[in-house]
Amino acid sequence: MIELLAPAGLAAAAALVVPVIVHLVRRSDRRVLSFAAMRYLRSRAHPRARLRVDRPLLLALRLMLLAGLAVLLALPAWREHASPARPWVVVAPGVDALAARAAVHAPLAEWHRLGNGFPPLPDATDAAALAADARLAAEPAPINTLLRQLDRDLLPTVALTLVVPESLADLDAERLQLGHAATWVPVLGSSPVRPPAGGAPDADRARGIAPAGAALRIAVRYDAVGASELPIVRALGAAWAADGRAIAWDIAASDAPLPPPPAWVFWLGGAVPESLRARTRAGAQVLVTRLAASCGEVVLDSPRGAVLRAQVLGQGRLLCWTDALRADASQALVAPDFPQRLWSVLAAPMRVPASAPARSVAPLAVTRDDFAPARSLVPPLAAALAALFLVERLVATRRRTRPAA
Amino acid sequence: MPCVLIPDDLRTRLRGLRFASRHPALRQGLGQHQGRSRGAGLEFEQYRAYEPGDEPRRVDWKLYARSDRFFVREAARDSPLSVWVLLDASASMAQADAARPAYSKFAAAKLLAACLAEVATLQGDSCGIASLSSKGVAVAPSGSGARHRDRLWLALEPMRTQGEWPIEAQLAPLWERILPETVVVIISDGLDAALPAFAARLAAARRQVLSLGLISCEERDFPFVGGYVFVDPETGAECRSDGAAARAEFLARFTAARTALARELARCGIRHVDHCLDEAPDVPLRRLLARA
Repeated sequence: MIELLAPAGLAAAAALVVPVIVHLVRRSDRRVLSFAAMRYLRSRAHPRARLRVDRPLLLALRLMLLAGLAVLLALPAWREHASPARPWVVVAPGVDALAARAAVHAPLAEWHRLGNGFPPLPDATDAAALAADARLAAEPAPINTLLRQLDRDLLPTVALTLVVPESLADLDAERLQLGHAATWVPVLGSSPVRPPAGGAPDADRARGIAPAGAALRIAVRYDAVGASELPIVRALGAAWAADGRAIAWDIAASDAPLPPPPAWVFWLGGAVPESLRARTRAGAQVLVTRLAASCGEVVLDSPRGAVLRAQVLGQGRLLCWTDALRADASQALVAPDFPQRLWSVLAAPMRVPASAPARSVAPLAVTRDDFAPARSLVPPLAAALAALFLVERLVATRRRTRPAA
Repeated sequence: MPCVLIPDDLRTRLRGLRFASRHPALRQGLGQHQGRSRGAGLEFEQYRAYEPGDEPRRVDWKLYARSDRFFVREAARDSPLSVWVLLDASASMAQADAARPAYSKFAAAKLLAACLAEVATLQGDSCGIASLSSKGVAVAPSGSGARHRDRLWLALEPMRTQGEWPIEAQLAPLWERILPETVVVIISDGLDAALPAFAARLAAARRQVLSLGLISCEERDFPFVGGYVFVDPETGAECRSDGAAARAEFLARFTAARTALARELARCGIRHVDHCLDEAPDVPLRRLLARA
């Protein structure tokens, strides 16, 4: 199978126009001839304007030469054509073997489990193997790493069908790129997840959660409207103090400077200034009231709908309270467990998203040229072109048997 | 001196050629042609009555014994002939065939002139050569003998084509040199309109005029195909034409013009022979010098 390593070189084929023009122009050009008996001549125009090609053999040789040069620039290479092989269906952990067989109809395919060594997937008849496979399906596995290994090891002609759970975990930072033709089939389910390894103290400190013994600082800034929300804030402070949490409050008008981080900020001042957003991105946790954010994860809800949404900004978090922080504006505030629920939201460790919808991380198709070594066709083609050039010179300089016509 | 102008085989074929004058030659001296001068000689011409002053040895004494009168025996003297070769050196004579670019009409004319000088020299006649062009008339004076023939060949060498057919005044020196009773061979391409009148004037004054018309192969065959711009070498006029389309009409008109030229010259008693450049040079000479 011939393939071109630099297909842009074929653009040189545009030069094919040149010899055609040369041969046509030479044809239409009138030759000047000194002719003593001119007085007996009458002017006769060409019988008809007809494009005629001078020396078609030479033109064909020159066209072949130029076309060959264009192909030479495109770096042709020969690659052994691999014979087609049976397609593979690979089932990721988190998907039951029988569910995968029901989702994909591939009677000729080889079925494998995505795991170390890619063990074959049992069918419904073998109960013991099914039980072993179910254990394997419950184990977390680095999906991207395994798929890359499969992509590298499998013959290039094998068509892949990847059955994955809709919620994929254990991904890595790089988007999956496969050289094989792969069909991505998400089915219902989610990847098994490793148990969390415990919060990171560095992240907690950045967000203002103080180590045991030190008081947490909360800065409250309010404007004219926000002043009416202060009672709830004080009530929250009293409730949290009753729970034994040490908090240093800093309540001031919105034009007062904010304390240096780390500190939580309750912004009751309406629109969020850019300085506060920058502080959030640097890792602070900010609660803003009267901000109906449309996006963000719902972290607190009431029967009437979402009341608190969390937006991740940089390394920090912007918590948006939809309504005014007043008892008459939100029913959620009067619930007896509200301070505890809000505390648990505020103090919850920030989680890195551990899973992603399978459809959004479908592998990208790339062209891989390292499947089989390609043998360069440039030297034989160059030799052939040199021979063709010699022939062209021979034809071009051959003594012409009849006068130029 | 080795002959560079005439190839050896051509020179061999020239030996059979002879100038024959229709007019008795006037020149004094011994030659190979029938002369008008009478007197002592080999071939008997006539008897005439003795006149005082005749040499006594020319009296035919045997006849005196029979008739008792003095008669003087006279013989016709063979006289030498004078030959002039006139070359048309107008620019149109530079025409050559693409197949043989070095052999132009003028080169052929030089070769023919050299041949004629050779023929004249072989039979002891005097020969002169002149090239005629509007840029000047070059004359190699008449003379006889092998050395003069070599001088003529040398004089041929620098002659070049230029300009057009000369006007009347430029031809004046020729009238002084080309005496009556001479043989004049005009070698031209026959394309100049003034040529027939000039030849007729020469012929009218008791000169035997022969005309050699040179035709190139391209004029005879017109092998051109495709678009051409034909340029007249003398006037510079241009004619754009397609070779194949113009061929039939050109050949018809050209042939008609050559026929008309030959007929007009024949009316003045001038023998005209056409010569194509691909023929051997002795062929037209043989036809030209053939005895009528």
